[in-house]
Amino acid sequence: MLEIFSGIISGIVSGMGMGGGTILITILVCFMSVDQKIAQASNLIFFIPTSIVATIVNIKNKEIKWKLAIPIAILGVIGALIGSYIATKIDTKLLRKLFAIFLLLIAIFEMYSWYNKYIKRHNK
Amino acid sequence: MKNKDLKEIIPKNKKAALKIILVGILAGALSGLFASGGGLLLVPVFVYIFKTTEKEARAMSIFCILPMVLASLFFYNKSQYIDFKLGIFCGIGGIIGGIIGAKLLNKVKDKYLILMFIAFLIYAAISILRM
Repeated sequence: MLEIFSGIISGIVSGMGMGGGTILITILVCFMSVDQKIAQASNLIFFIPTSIVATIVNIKNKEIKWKLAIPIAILGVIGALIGSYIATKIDTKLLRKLFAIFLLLIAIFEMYSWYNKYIKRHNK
Repeated sequence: MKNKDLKEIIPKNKKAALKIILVGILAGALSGLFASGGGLLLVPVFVYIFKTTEKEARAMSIFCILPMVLASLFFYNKSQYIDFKLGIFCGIGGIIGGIIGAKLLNKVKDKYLILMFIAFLIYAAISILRM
């Protein structure tokens, strides 16, 4: 039941276009004591069904610029193989610490863009 | 694929090509290492560097991340980190939440939601670091 609830919260965040995946992993690791690597793998599974549906809709609506999207997707696969190989090989505690630093970087970036979007533009 | 089509996909401008290579590999590495965060990188990159609309950026980031996720699953599966039961239960919640989120998007001001998101990220990062 708690798993479904975690999914609902991350789904809401995803639906609003913020990082749903980071939220899901964080809830699983912080509040449900799931292992970092298992939480990350669950997020991969979590991502697939909704993103396939979303992509079909997006292709129909012609939202995708193929010339840009295809090369990034192909190169991304290379990056993903490297990244996931490292993730499965390094120590779980180290991966968890790196993940926490990654969360802080996202927070800083979000603050910066929040400032630009709502404060700076407002004062012009 | 015809040779002509390939030429259209590969950008003529070297600088643009370099940007695409860097962005692609970096987004992939993040998606693989943390199994998340690819979209958080790709959406602003598409909007600010490649000048797409926000809607196009979101659509393309999901499209690009899908193959990255499938590729990542290979190593996570090989090392037996996949808990299908956990993933599927979260997925069911995710679908319900996604619908709620999309509807809320038009009603609640995201100005305050982003602040809540930031506060949560900082709180979570600190508690993970103290674990």
